[in-house]
Amino acid sequence: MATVIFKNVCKRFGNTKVIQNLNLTVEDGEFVTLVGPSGCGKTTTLRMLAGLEETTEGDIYIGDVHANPVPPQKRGIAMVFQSYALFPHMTVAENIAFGLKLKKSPRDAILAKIDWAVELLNLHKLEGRLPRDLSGGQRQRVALARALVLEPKVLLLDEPLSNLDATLRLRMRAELKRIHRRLKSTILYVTHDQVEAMSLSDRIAIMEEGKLSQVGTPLDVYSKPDNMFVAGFIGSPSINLIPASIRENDGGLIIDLGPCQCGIPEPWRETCRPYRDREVVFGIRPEHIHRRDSYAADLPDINSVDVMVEVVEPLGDRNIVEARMDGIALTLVTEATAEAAPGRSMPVIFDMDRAHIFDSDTGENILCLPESGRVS
Amino acid sequence: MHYLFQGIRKNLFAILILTPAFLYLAGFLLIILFKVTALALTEAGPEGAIFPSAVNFITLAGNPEFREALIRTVWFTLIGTPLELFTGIAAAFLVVEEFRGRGIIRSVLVLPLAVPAIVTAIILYILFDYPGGHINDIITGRHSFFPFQVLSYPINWRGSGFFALMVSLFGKVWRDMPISMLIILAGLQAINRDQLEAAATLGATALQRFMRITLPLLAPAIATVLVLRSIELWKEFIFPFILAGSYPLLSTLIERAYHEWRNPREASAIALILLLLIILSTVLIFYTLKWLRKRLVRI
Amino acid sequence: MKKTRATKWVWLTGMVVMIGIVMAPLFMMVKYSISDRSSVVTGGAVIPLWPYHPTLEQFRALAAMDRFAEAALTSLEIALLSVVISLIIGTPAAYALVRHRFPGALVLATFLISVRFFPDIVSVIPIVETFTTVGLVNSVAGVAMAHSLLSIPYVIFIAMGVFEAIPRDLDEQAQVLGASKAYSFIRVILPVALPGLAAASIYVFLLSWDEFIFAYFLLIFGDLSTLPVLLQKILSWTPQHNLLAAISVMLSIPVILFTFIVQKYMQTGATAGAIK
Repeated sequence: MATVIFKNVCKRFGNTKVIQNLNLTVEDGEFVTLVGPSGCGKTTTLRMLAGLEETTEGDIYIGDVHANPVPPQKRGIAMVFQSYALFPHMTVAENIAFGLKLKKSPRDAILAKIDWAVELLNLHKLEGRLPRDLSGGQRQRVALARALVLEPKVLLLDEPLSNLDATLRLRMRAELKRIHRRLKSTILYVTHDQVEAMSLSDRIAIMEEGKLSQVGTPLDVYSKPDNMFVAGFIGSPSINLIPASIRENDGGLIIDLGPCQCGIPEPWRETCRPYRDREVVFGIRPEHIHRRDSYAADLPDINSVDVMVEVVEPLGDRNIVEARMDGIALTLVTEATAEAAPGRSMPVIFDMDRAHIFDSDTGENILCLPESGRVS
Repeated sequence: MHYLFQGIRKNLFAILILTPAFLYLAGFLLIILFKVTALALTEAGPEGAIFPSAVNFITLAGNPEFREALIRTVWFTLIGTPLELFTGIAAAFLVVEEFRGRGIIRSVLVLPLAVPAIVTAIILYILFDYPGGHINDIITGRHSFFPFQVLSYPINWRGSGFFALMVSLFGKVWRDMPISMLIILAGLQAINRDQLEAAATLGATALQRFMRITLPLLAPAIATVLVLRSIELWKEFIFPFILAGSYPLLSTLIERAYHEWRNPREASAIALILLLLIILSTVLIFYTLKWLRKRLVRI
Repeated sequence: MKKTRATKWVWLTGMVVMIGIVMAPLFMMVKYSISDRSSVVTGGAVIPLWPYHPTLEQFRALAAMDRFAEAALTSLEIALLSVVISLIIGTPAAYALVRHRFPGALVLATFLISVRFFPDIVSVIPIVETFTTVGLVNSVAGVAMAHSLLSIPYVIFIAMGVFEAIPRDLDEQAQVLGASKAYSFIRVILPVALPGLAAASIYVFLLSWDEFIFAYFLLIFGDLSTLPVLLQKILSWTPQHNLLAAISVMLSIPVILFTFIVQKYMQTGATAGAIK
């Protein structure tokens, strides 16, 4: 097990900058997920760590070793590919033993390791089969076993669940979590699925166009997004982003959304004051907009508005409601029991303590800027 | 320099496993080009070899056998290339549409490719024998299934330059038909049926559809066939060697110069001329086609 | 497109003519090979379309003929040797060209593959002259080397296609698990590529098996013969047609057989470089 450090890492393909000045530390035994839309550079980052791509600039350390000049086979890492890349001409056992044989482990040790992996990943009775005779989930587990038996310093997983169907994906997700708890391995995991990232990781690193947008615990990135991109990427359904402006009102500060005005809570007033009379973006998650009657009455009246319900998607436990507030589209989540019918108007209230205000030029979350009271 | 060194180190494995193939092919090619040029430009004087010398080319220019071979080769190629193309197109059109047993028919039509050229030549040698031989039997009306007497006397196929080369050409076209067919077929299958049907709804007749849509879209495949086949015809050896021994083409004249005249220098000179002809004709075809395509696309 | 009655008839006629022309020489080859003497030497009478007394005596004669057995063996040796040479040299090159896209790789690949367009009749004299000075004329090795010159480009072309079809993940996975490039090529990629490479080797075998020009020029003054050369040599004795046909059948059988086995690859080989 080892710590992984990316220090000012850049990657260019010709003139295209794929990764720009990446700094990231994965602590020993930590499960870190790189997440972002396709093309954001997350897989390239992983492949640089594996040594499959060269690092244009900057340094990568695995443990105490400066890894840049080390070829993939000597980095002490193991990687599971999206396609699993099982060797089709080798049985399950041979696949698992592949790396160990290359390390010249004694035969007994190899056999013991195979048994251990078979036990860990529940591959009983499959040892003699060829990859083509395995189901998708089984192949996935073999690929994982093949990587784990090497006791890698870091385990790299490149979208390992994306080729599985939904149910299997949930099962493997739990399995991965269990394995990580048991083995305490350092894991760098790549996915484009934010739900997967949230549920698995100790920390999440969100990437956008080759840059790291935010690194933090799942809870952090959800409740304190550094910028509009992270706010929009994390959470499902997506956060509502509404152009707005900040204005002074009776000594207090309000945020003007057009159809309605919301009071800015006391602790943030000083942070927001410089943005007076400027364009900002107001962000509020669907789950933080409530039906007025179903919510604690102690919220100030000013934060409420009537919206026109357009579409209701019942999910069983709750409903996702697409609504309109004058011209502005709004998504909100209500309890399944709440009455909401298309075409009807519904009074809602914004939970301003959990809202965000973004600088419309830089996209940064005003409330999370270093000088604001909210930063942790 | 440093960059180059790094590049070599990074790709050391690739370079290592590429080198044998490169050395083998490039080495042979270099030896061949060097040797053939050196031989062609050497004069075997009484006091040893003289180099460079144009004597081989001058001798050849004055040699009627060479001039005849050159003219025969040009005709052989000029007639053969379109013939190869047309048989290929015809065969491809026969099997392009889906029908029952198409797979088997296709395999049957590919058969000539699977027969060694020398075997095809030998069989044609037997069939076009004189005065017996099946072909002569047929055209003189001696078979009951074909009771028409085309000629009253049998043809001495190998005894006439025209017939000998026609039979060679038949053999060559017969054997190469599958290659042309497969290339054209691939081209045809790449053409979207919707385009043809759209043209039909716009009022194009079958002929117009063929001329305006199929043919232009087929142009790359046709170009490929023309270039590849013309190279093949320029250098064709086996069929004229077996079937038209007395009427050499340039290729068979190389063999004669080498084995009968015992003159590797003149043989090399002929080879060099043949090589230049091939390059010239390929370039010519290439540019003609390019020019033609520009014309075709015009409104 | 709907077919009219007329086009259907044109198509059917064309098909019958085409198949007739394709099959006639093959039928004649088989017919002659099983003909008895009276069906070949007719003394001016019409040659029958089917032998009066079909017989296998020509094949029996071939079996007893030392020169035929020797030539068949020589053909086999040359073909196998050229398979070995061109596979050993061509396969790794194809792998390097597919997997290591270094600058100029495409140009190099194009060059290596297009060597096959170099006219054999032009290269044969310099090769014979060179081989004479190094003692490779009239030898199995010499002919095999010349044949490899023709077949290495094919091997590179076919093997490049085979390697392109193998996901790059496999190489990378092997490396991440600790394998060197050479190890992952030999132990992981080659076994996976085996079926495609087998097809390539059959193709190369056939290329050598029925090659005539190099074999003829390199062997004409010696005692060695490949089957095609033997056929040509026998032709100059003006032998009976049925013997020629029998040798032709023996020469063609492996080719026709294998062609159907590897038809898919034969076609890519035959049209190599034509369709991209």
